[in-house]
Amino acid sequence: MSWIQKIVLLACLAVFLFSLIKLGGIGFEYVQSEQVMKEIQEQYKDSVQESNAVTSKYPVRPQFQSLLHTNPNIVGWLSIENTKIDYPILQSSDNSHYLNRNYKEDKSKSGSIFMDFRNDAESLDRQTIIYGHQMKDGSMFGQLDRFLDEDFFSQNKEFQFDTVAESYKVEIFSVYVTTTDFNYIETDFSTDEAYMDYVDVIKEKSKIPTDMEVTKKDNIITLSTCNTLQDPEDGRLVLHGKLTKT
Amino acid sequence: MLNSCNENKLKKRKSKIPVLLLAGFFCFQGTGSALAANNLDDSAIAPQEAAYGYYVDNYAKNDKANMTPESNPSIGVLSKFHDIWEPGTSWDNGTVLNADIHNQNIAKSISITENRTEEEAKRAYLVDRRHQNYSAIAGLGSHADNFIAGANAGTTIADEIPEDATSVGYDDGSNNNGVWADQDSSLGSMVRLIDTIRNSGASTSNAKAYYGYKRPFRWSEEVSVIPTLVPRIKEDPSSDGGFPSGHTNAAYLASYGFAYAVPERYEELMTSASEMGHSRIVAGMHSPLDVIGGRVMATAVAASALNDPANKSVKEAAYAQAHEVLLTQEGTSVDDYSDYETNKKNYTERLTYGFAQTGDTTKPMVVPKGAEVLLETRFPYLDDTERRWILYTTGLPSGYPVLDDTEGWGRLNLFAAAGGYEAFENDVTVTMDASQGGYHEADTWKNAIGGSGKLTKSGTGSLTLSGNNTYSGGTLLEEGTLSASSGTAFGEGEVVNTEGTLTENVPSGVTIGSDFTQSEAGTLELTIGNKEDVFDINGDATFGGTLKLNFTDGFIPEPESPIISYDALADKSAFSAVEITGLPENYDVSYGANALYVVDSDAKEDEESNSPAAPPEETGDNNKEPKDDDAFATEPTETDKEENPGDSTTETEKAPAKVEDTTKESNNSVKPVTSSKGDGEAVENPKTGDDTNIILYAGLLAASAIAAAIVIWKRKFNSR
Repeated sequence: MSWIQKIVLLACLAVFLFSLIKLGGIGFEYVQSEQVMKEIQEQYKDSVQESNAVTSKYPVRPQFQSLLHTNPNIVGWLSIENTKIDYPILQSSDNSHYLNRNYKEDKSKSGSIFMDFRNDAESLDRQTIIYGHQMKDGSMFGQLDRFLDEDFFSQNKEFQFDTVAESYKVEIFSVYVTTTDFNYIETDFSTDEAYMDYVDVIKEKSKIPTDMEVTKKDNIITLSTCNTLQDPEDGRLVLHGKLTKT
Repeated sequence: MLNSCNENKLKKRKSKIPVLLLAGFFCFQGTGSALAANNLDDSAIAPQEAAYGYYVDNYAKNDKANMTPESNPSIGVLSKFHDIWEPGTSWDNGTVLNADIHNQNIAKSISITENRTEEEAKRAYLVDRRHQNYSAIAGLGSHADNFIAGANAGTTIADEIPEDATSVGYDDGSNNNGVWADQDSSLGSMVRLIDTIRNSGASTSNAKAYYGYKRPFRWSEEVSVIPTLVPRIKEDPSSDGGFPSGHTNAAYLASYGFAYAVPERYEELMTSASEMGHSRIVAGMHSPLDVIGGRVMATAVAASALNDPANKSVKEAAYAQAHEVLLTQEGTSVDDYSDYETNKKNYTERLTYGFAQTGDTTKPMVVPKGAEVLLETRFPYLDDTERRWILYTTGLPSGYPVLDDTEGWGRLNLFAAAGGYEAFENDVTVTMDASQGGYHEADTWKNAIGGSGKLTKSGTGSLTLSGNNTYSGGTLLEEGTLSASSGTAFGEGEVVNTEGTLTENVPSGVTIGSDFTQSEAGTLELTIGNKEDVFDINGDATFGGTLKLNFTDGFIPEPESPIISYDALADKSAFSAVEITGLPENYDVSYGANALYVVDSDAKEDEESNSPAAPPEETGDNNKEPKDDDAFATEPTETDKEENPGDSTTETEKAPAKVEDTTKESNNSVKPVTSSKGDGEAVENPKTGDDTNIILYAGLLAASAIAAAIVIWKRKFNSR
């Protein structure tokens, strides 16, 4: 074997090992995030059962009491059947804190599902916005793009959204990919007309047309994540649903 | 750091999107706590008679001769306990009727005793051993030491617990005269009021004997009594009932007395009483339901004593003495109850101890006969009917264990009531005569007020509203001062100021839900410290009278920064006089189509001579965002960018192209707007991609393996 061949072989081995370690690290992080999330999912499930669907006059519902001990920034819970989405919703004073922190406040690439800092979980604005990463392992909002599939959409038109104060049924009325050039992250509107104009626009943008009626009295929820279909940098996948108290 | 949605550097494609044209934004509370818009008449607050009659008329019947819920009001007011527990013929043969609630009750006792801290245990010992009136003094906060000195209040139970307390049962020898405080002291009238209330058929012993519900440590061995109180456990359980808690009853009775005399400490005294009640659970001596029962009974007894005409001079003397002697001294002691929010949270939790509303949750609130006396000194400028409405709107919902007695004593929430109305169920007129001082002169209503009624403020006094209010009937200020210390203090209706002074001191600005009208004799006084501090009228504005603008914190408004915004200005409407403080003299107001500005009049003249430009467009919102009109679009500013900014380079490149960003969908004639967070700054759309380079590393892995394979294969090939 010539010395050139040896060097090439050594280099290949080095690159191979480097890549292997990196991939292992990524895999480990995914697994770790999932474990951390499992802990709080079990905690939430247990407290939901304990609370026995208690209704309370007070802002914090019983099933959130123990969660709030874990992190007082937890403002709700989002779960969508047939996806991995079953996560606490956090909120900080900006929209960047929970991009890379989990609910334990540890650094995490998956970050957290979080509510726009301008929203108020106890008294919802017209539009409540929830952000989450489109993780490649399908966690966080990684499976939100399933709603772009008409069959999946038609079979999963509803999901549940809980705040510390209330429980809501969400009926999806629009899902589409766009870029950040389209401003869908306004939390409030100056007039009923402005709000209805906006609702018309987002209904029209939906990849899958629905005939759901959204009136000026309705509040909506918007789930937002990255998506590369339209733009690798500023592409977004957006899903809008109408909220009904349950 | 997630700084990219995708590692692939694809060429950027500019999406063509519809754009949304909005006049502006303002904060909108979509799901406020507005109550139903049904006006209620006074029949809603009419008292309802219980089987024993009205408590205030029959309180003296709490004696051993009357041992039924129908004959003894102290037993009757707690008769909802019958849903949970059927008393037996002996201390240990009653029947649990609602095992779920009973088990929860004992479980809560176990949990609270298991989790108590050293500090809590110590406090529980002191509350148990000291005269309850003495312990209640702490609710007076900084005035406590002055009260102790002035009333010669005393206790022989020292702050430090003796080491032999676990084997010796200490009793409180009180002061040097053997009483908790002296009636002939300089604060003797206050002492007399507390003593009078405590002696008004106030004993829980008849109710305890009737209900025969065991103390929690007799229900479960897991409830541990604090070791220092073990010597106090009665050996004979047959005369040692748990429901209702006597100490809790006493704590509230004394605190209601203090609160009558010193209503300025109302919420703190209520919290202190609830703390004493809670300490009974901590001690292991009582369960949450015992403590709840003690509170309910005390509320009825205190109101009865204060209502009794025979006690009129006693209560008046106590109030006068508190204000002439106690409150005129400088407070020197530490206030354990200085944080309103903490007090509110603790007190509110202890109203129900986390029990669920398992009963009928739809019963309207009932206000007991005579209960309004509990607010007599707290709201001296209101009449009895108005005080009953406060009790009505601040009451707990129905359905909680024990609390749904016929008269409504259980559902009263006196902490909330001390903060004023929680709803204007009908129109409310408040007349405050400042010359009478105290609350007549100035008061603050802290609750979030809903309802469909209207608030009329008259009289010379000053009323401050600090809740996030949603009442929709409008606000009329006839005289005196009405202040906002919350952005939505004036509710959702129109605001009319005829002859009063309307003020605000809210750094984030105040929103008027509808039209605003001020007459010639009215004054609007705004304190402005930043550009968000806008008086935002979501309706038509009709100005008159005086406008006072106080600029603080060195803030000098930009010419396009609105001070008052409105949808439209009534024809030729303007303030007759404008007084500006905190700005150089050359500043003056300028009326635009949709907003009032403060401008440097020298600069304004220059501008006007150059170009007769239209007044700046108003934003109609409290976000104070410059409107996205052509002028701004051609010269984008920082706040004007519609982007969801990623990095500033891309941002700047993209911004000028925005105007051309139209698509077929733009037929909607909507333009994109900058998301704002209320202070004019653009809000970034968070980047929520996954920047893990799986493909890169997988590719490298495969490439290196292939390259190695090729080298090896080539070597083998060559060697052949």
